[in-house]
Order: sequence, then structure tokens, then C-alpha cells
Amino acid sequence: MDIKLQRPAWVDLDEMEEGPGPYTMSYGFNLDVLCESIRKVGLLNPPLVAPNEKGRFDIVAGYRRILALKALGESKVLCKEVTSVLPSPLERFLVNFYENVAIRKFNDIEKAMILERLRRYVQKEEILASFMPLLGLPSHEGTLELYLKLVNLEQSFQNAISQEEISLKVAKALLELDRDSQQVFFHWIGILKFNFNQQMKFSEYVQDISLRENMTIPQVLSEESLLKVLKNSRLNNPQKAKGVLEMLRARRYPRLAMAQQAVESRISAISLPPDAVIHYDAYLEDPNYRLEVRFKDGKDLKKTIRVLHSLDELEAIPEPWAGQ
Amino acid sequence: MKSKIKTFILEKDAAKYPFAQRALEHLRRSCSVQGDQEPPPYKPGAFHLDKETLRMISFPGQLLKPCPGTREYLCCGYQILNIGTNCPLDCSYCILQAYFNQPSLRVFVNLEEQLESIGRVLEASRRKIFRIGTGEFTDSLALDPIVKWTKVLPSFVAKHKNAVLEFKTKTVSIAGLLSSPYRDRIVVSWSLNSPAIASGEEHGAPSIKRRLEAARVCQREGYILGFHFDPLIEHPAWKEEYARTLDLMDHYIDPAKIIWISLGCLRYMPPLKQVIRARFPRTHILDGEFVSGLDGKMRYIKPLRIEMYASMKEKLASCGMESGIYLCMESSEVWQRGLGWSPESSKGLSQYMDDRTRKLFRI
Repeated sequence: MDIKLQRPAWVDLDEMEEGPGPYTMSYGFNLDVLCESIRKVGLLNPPLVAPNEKGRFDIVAGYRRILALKALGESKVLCKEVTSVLPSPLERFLVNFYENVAIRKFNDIEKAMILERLRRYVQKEEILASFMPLLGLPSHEGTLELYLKLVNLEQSFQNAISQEEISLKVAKALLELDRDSQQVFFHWIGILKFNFNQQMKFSEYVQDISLRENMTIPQVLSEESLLKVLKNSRLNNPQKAKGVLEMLRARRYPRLAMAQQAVESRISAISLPPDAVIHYDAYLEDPNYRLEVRFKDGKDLKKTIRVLHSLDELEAIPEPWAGQ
Repeated sequence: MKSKIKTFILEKDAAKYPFAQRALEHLRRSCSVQGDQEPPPYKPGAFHLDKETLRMISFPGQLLKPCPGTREYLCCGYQILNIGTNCPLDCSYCILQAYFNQPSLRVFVNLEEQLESIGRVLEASRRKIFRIGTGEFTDSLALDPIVKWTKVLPSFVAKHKNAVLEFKTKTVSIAGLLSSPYRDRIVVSWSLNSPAIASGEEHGAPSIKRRLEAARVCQREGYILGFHFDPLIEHPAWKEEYARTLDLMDHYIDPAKIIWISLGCLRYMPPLKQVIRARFPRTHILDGEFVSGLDGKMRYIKPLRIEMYASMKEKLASCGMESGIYLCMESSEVWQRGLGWSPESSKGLSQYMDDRTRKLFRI
């Protein structure tokens, strides 16, 4: 029988299982818009349900609609009971999957939930070949393994990933760490609101320092100098984030940081004309500096050159690594 | 080296080649043998290198290619003879871990067939010296007891007077070389490191002492030797540690019969870091101050590289081994500051290496 031909019937919301259950795949969503829609025009599509062995109902499709109805204080919902048309768990799961995949974008935790459930019913090769492309993921075993691990993360991590507060690349790095290290990382990332690029740098510096100095990650991140930056009330969050990263970088790359600082202070001390800039390789690998001059016409250029020529400080510019 | 190979696979069209038959003969009793296999599917990001499987492959591409080098650093103009890929040793720093997208030890069994066309390339430029090496994408000798490259390649080189062949190894698998009648224009080279790095990071490789003992045997048997300190790795007391190896070299080796000694600090493409961290989580080889070089590879900050080269050069000179020292993939500035001179360009370096070749082999 077709699901469309199935007659809906009233079910008590109290009889529904809590949580998304084995078939639905929604995580990290906001119910406000859906509540508003139901309030204005009612529930247009009845959810699909199936009774389980506990005598309650698993939601096959419509998890968010049911949560919205509960939030609106409803006690009953008109549902379609689909046991006869969708007898197997895989069929129920796939109905929900295809209903969703066609109309919305999944976040990474939802993708992880989908892959984890598929893993129960479908061969790995089929997941890689058929389902991962539908989720916009490369058909790589490594990617599948990464997503399967996300399902076991703590809820606070999952929330951060689903809301794109933590990059998947960083999440991948964190998954390799012990639980204490994960939590302390997560705490810092949460407080300082690092952008994705900063998160990667933060994670790399801290892990490198921990290995280099034979310290645990919580030990590295509980050092007073770093905590002082966090507690500094004169700094705003972006300044704190920048300050912490700079401290970690200087500790991870002490000779490079010192040399860069020396070059920078020498260059910035020169009273260059406003249209001239001196560039150097950030890693001081290129032995040459580069002078850039902007000018409107030949006269303008000659003027800037005359000023540059008269600057005695230019002769004091050292080689990039001089004195290091 | 005792073979750890458990599975021997003949990929499609490989069985007809003598290299495959020789290897099959050697491994028939100790391995599970599978014939007529398709290549394995590509698995990006997989860290399992499957070093217990040996695959015989008929490689469709060119086997002789110039070392790619980079514009930003000086390259010696070496030619790579691609006899196979991956290696039974398991050095933590090995670039091959992130370089190839196929697992298993892979031997290109159609090498003999290709030697004919390679010979034509050599003959077409008779005035040019071809310094050819087989140790870039695999160890030149680690699989020689099974595959027996030393039965085929030296006789090929003997026929082409402008070719020099370098076998580069960390092993002591020299039986094939010792039973070969050819010596002219064959270089046997050992990759060396400090004893601490050799024992802690070069998994499965013989000790430095054993390598040098094997080198001494080869030298006494008339082979010209080469040595490669690449990668040099910053580690506690690295100067003293490398000096220990150089002292051993001084003890075992006659400097007059060394054609070249290369020095190169650890460098890697950025994705290798993740692979090393995953495969060798406690290693300290990534502890140094690495920066992105002008070629995009991560390398030590310049003053450290210069210090390491200068230290190695000083010690080598004190052992009478300063002739033939060269830097692999470094700038002219680093040459000048680390070694006290520079060939200025890749062409100049190539000329310098050719001169060493002419001198040692009287070409």
C-alpha cells in the first residue's frame, strides 16, 4: 500500500518516544519558525509513526513537527501509522532520509547520524558509493570513519559542530586526543571564539608544544601567562584570541618569532614616505627584501625616490637573520 | 634483512616478466600467492601502507625521469630510475608515506623491457653524463634478494659509457652486488643518520655500524661509495650524535673512494605531518622550528640549516671527507654560508657532480 493512501489517525503525543529515535535525523535546529508556521496554518503533513516493542511510537518522519506541537502545548497529533507499508527499519529510515535530502542541507552531526544509522543496515561499500555523494561528502573511507566518530562526541561538542562553531578539521584533530584534552581545547575555543583558521593554529601550536615539552595539553593550557590574557579585562575577545595565539606561536617557534620581531621593529622604525612599503618573506627564507612604491606619475616617483635616497636609516636594514 | 612479506601479488600482465618469475620463485613457499589481480582501489588518506604485500606490476609509464627539483633551490640534475615504489623499512620521516596513493611494496617488472628505450635515450646524448639512481621511491637493495635488480642493472650500465648508476640503501643486502662482475660506473650509497635517529626513527633498518661494515665490504670489493645524510634531524646533542656516525665512517671507509656525500635537512610537504603524527604519535622529529620554504615544503629555519651543514662539513673535513659534499635542494645562500662555497645554480651543481663522476670513474 502507498503511504499517500494511508489514513491518518490521532495519536497522543505522550505515547511518542522522546528523542529522534532510530529513523529521524534532525540535530541542532531551531523550532521557532516551525512553531510559528503551525500556529498560523496548522500542521499540513501528518508525521509518520510506527509502534515499537515497548508499546510506544517511534517517529519515522516528522520529529521536528512533533517537537513543535509539544512546544505549542498540543496533546494529540494526526499521524500515519506505517508498519504495514514500511515493514523494515531500513525502509523507514530511507523514507525519512530521502524526504529530507531533497529539501534541506544537513549539518555535520546530522550527516554523522545518517551514516551511523546506515552502517547498521547497509554495507560499507554501498554507503561510500551511493550515500556519501548524496550527503555532499567524498566517498572516502577516512571521511566515513571520521563522521562515525562524531556520533560519540559529547553533546556540547556536537552542538558546536552542528552550529559551525568548530571546524570539522579541528574536530578531527580533537578526536585523536584524550577526553581531558578535548574538553580543555573545547573550553578555550568556546571562550575565545576563534575563527576556523585560528582554531587550526591553536590546536597545532598546543599539540606541538605538548609533545616538544613533554607536557599534557591541560598542563600547557593552564599556565599562568595564558590565563592572564584570558583574565585581562582591558582586552576584548578578538584581542585576547590574537594575544593567546601570539604567545603560543612565540613558544612554539622561539627563534623565528624573535627574528621576525627584530626585522619588524627595524623596518617600522624607518620613516618611509607614505607611498613606499618594504616587504619581506614572513618566514625569512627569502634573503631579499622587496620595496614597493606607488606613484601617480614620473614626477611623483622621482619625489619618492629622492626621499628614499635621503634616508640614512635604510643602510641600517640588516639581513633578515642577522644577529640571530 | 629478513623478509616480512606475507602476500605476493602478480597484477594483470605481470607474470610473464623475468623479474616477476624470479620473485615468485623466491617467495613461492613462504607467501600466499595471488595471480592476475587488478590494481587495488585508490584510498586517499589511508595510513595503512600494507608493507607485508609485494605487488608485481607492469608499469605503463616512463621509468626514467629527471628528479623534479624546484626552481627556488639548487638541484643536481639526477635521473630517477623508477624500479618500484614504497619500501619494507618504516622510517618515521619517510616522505613516501604521503607521496603515493597506492599501498603495498610495488615492483615494476617490465623494467628490462624498458631498458632498451632508456638505452636509446642515453645514446642520443652521449656527451651528457646520466647520473641515475634507483633509491628515490624505494630502497635500492632492500628487495634485491627477492627481485635481483643487481643481476640486470649493472650489465645495462656497462653498455652505456655515459651512465652512472647509484644503488642507494639503508640495508646490508649486498650479496647481489658482490656476486656481480661489474664495478665500473656503479655507485653503492648508504643513507646514514645519527645512531639515535637510526635506532629510534628508522624502523627495520640495520644499525649505522652494520651499514658501514657493509659499505666497507663493498669498497674493498672495488665499488665506489656514496653517502647521504638526508634527512639531518635536529635532536638532543645532534652535533655529537652525528659526529659519532662520522667517526664510524672515518674508521670503516677510505675517503679516496667516496664519490659524493649529500646533506639535506628534514623537509616535508605539509600533509606528511598528519601522517607522521598518526603513524608515530610519540616521535620528536617534528619538534624543530619548521617554516614553509619557497617551494612550499616545510623546512627548518635557515640559521639552523646553515649550522647543521657547517657542523657536518667541519667534521667531514676533519676526517678527510670534504670532497664531493653537496646539499640537496638548498639555496645558493645556504650553500655559501653552510659549506663556504656555492655552485650558484642547478647547472653549476650538475657540473660539479659530473666532474666528481668523471674524476672517480675516469670517464
